[in-house]
Amino acid sequence: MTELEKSGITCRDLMKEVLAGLFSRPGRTVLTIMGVVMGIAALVATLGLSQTAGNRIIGRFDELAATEIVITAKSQNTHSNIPVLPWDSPERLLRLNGVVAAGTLSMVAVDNALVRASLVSDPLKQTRFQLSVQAASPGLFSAVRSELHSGRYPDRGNSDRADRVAVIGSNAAIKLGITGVEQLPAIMIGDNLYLVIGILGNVGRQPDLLSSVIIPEGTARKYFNLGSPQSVLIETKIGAASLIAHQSPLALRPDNPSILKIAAPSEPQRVRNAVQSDLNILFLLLGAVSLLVGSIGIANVTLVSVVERTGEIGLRRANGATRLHIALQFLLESGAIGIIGGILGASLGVLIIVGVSFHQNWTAVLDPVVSLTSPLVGGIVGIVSGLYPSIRAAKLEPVDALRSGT
Amino acid sequence: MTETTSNMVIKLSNIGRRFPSDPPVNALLNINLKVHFGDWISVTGPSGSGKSTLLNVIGCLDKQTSGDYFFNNTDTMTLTDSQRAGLRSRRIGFVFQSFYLLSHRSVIENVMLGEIYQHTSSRGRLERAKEALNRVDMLKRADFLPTHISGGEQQRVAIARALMGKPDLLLCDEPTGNLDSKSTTMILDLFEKIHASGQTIIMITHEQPVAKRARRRIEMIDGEIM
Ligand SMILES: Nc1ncnc2c1ncn2[C@@H]1O[C@H](COP(=O)(O)OP(=O)(O)OP(=O)(O)O)[C@@H](O)[C@H]1O
Ligand SMILES: [Mg+2]
Repeated sequence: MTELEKSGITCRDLMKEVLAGLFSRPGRTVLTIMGVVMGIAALVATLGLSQTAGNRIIGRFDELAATEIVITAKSQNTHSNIPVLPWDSPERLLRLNGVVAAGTLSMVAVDNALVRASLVSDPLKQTRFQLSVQAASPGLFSAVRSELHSGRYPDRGNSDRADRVAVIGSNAAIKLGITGVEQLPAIMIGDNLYLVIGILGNVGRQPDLLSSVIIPEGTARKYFNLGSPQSVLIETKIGAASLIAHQSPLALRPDNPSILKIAAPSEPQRVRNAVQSDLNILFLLLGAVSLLVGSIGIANVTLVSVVERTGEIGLRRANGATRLHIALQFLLESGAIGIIGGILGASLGVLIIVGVSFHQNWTAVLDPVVSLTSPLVGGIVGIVSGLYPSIRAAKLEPVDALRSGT
Repeated sequence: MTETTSNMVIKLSNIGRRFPSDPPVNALLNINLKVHFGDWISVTGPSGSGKSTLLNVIGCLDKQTSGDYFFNNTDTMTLTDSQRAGLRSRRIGFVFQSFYLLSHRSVIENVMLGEIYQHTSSRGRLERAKEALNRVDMLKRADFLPTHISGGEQQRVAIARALMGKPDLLLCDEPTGNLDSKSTTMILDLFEKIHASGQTIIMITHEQPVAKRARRRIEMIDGEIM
């Protein structure tokens, strides 16, 4: 029987009614949306700015110090004839996730042998120097972030063959009167001739390398009886230092990890996190409060609208709308206000981040998830705020609505 | 006189409506009424005599507290809320004293509201709305806002909206209550026209001249039909 058919409204018609409802009072709708825009913009901007500022903090926190680990033997009186660090320490460490570069560095006992430039022997000038000689594995140079002034670094082959080659620091080069490697300069360490294959221009870490002569590890083992590496330098990824510091003793000496001394940065990561989360909480609180204000605004306006539109509600009920249809209409109106507010708020927030970052010369950082979820957050806020007014609208008896409304 | 139930739109038997207010009010008492397809009935009576209450029960906006109400041979008490809403959307058109036109929507959009709760596609709706407007002679004002037309014109738009859903029954509560005599005459002429086309009409009025235009007159006093 046709009378038993239920009433219903197509999705399209419902949407049309919702839009018409929003556009029938455009000024009020815009003002209500503004409330959400403020809240969401505050949230997005604060999240983004704290990420951006957090990034800046890590930059200031001396990224070099935050990513450096130095491992040595714990006991000072451990002699080089009792090996503490294995020769393959760099390889072992590179297997750890978070290690960017690793290399060994050892003082070479040259027994007071002086270093001099080989050919030039000017009697008027001092030509022999007490330069420190250090042995390095090939990976050390990137671990200390050195830059070459000229030439090249010794490679694994130089070390394996125990070639008599050397890299000298820029200060050492000035002392020795060597300006480049094109003329194949050589130096004497003691009585032995070493070919200078590279000159360091600068180093990020271990600045004493600039005044040193650096020979391959294999060469030091063969000619200077280097028993084991004295130290291992590690460069980690940002934020990985504490983890690597924790893992490396076991990687190097699974049998006796406690004999190693680890010099790791004093947890700047944690400091940074603490600073950032403080900022975040403060900012988020601010954003949440503005969003709450916005949502109260929606609730208020929807409630006023329900009262104003009592007659319309009665008429719609007479026309065949069920309580659900009425509730949905108001709920979708407030939800749409929330979604539009979310979209506009996210855009405004991004603009603020970009503007502030530009002004401060920062690199703007924003997790895209934040701006993409904003419309969703706005929609949820809108629907939650509209819940109570919608239920009130739905609960109106059609007869009462028609009697009290005009 | 024998009657078949097939040509009967509504049948009320011993309908009562008691409001549990303090003191309780028996707004309707023992109402018995049969309305056939094509009837044009007026309901008159003093204020508070229960006219609107009766119309609300007939329109399934309100439920009787006693008695049986059959609409097209269906016992309305057995219907769910959604089915009652469905009945209102498809079978009943309402016209009220205050027109309840949405002031921000154009005349034609207001008319189209008359069928949106029938869950029909919007295909052809505009044409149907134009046709309904044409029936009330308001097609020329289709794109006007309700605030820009006269009261009599607004009521004609409201009638077009009620006719839009092709109802079996047109229920009018004081349709001319807000109108001057000239507009009242126009509305009554319009009712004459749609009655002639077969539309069943029940209309409440407290004005005797208006009631006289109907084919059948019902008088109510204190919740009872005289
Ligand atoms: N919700 C309600 N609660 C209590 N009493 C009610 C309610 N609705 C109506 N009444 C009472 O029922 C009686 C009938 O009311 P109704 O509105 O049907 O009268 P009416 O004949 O339409 O009057 P009028 O010509 O003034 O519109 C009145 O006494 C009214 O006070
Ligand atoms: Mg009344």
